[in-house]
Amino acid sequence: MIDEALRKSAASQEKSYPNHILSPDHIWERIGNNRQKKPVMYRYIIGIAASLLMIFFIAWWCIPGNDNETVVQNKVLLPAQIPDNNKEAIAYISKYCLEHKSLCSSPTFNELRKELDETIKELTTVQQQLHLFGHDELLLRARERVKYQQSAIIHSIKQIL
Amino acid sequence: MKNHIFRFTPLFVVLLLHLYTTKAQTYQPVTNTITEVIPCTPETIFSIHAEKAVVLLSGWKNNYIQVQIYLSAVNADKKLAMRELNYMHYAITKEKNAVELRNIFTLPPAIDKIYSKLEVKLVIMIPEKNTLMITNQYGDIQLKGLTGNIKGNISFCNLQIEDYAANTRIDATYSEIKGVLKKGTHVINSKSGNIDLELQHVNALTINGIRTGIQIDTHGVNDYRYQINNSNGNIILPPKYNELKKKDKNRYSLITQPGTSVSLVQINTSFETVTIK
Repeated sequence: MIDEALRKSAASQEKSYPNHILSPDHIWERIGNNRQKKPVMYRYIIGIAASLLMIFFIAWWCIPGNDNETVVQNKVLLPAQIPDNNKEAIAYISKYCLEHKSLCSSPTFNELRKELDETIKELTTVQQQLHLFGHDELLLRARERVKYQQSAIIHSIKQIL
Repeated sequence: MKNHIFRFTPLFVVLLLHLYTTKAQTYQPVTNTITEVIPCTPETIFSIHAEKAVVLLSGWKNNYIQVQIYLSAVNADKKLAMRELNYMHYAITKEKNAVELRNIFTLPPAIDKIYSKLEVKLVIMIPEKNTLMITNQYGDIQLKGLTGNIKGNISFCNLQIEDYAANTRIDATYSEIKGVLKKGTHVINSKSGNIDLELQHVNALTINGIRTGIQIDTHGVNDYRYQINNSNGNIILPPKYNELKKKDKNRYSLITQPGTSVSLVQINTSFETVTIK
């Protein structure tokens, strides 16, 4: 109906139609061609989008378990939450590394972990000396030095994790 | 009258407590002082193996070693202090060109705790040019007026160096090294420590540090050339050297080459700051 109306309206204008422009029949033919192509193009695009969505949903559906686990683990252990207390922080790092082995296997991390283990041994030795000699000023100073280093190493580990 | 007595009773109690604590603070230490004189030659190597001791060592012009050993024990119970004073021992051995001084703590088998405050102080004079080897753990050391070769192995110590022109090699852990180095070649390996030195015409200084903060006062930075590397820590320099400071990822470095005839200051450390003044 609309086409009919347009054709009539265009035909009424034919007398004043400029000569350098294509004839109305030619134009209508082109419009018709375009109309036939467009729905085909849309169908293709919609089909591809649907396929991509399908692939995405299938992939998401197939590996949901791992993702969920990671989310749960991250909720339990975040490096930023490493406690300020050195003893608790060391326990925290050990637990974190049990669950995130790949993160804790870099050479830099291993080096820091080795240093941290050394401070634990040194602190144990100083504590034994303190037990033997009581609150000796030189031993208390030694303990503070080891604790300071331990805190610095924990800080470095925190940055890596 | 009764009311007055009750009113002043707490005051008396506080006064008695105060007298008691004041008395406790002024307990006289039980001491034992020993002086030993050991003849030696310029070739004699003097070794000190100290444990929890304060070592004050000076060089002198005489040709013998003098060792003064101060042992003290402080406790409210004088008998206990006297008994525990005997836990501290020392030994001096002489063999050809070597003299060795050693202090140790020896406890009876059943004892696993010491109740007195025990102190060992070694005041030592040695010929200034003789070779010295010193080890100490949980103590303080002062070295003064020495010009020979010195080898040290210290942990949890404060080492103070004064008027010192010896050739040095020191391995230090958790220790603080402070003082003035004059002439000589010095090598310091330090882990988890702090080094604060003033240089006066040293031939060469090498510091290999791990987690060691380093401050060097050079009295005119032009007297030396520098090779400094610091990973995970900064290098603070006088303004004119700032352009030569380089940064590569987490490592700062400074290399200057004003001429090979100039003494070299070589520093490697990590995680702490290096300051050149």
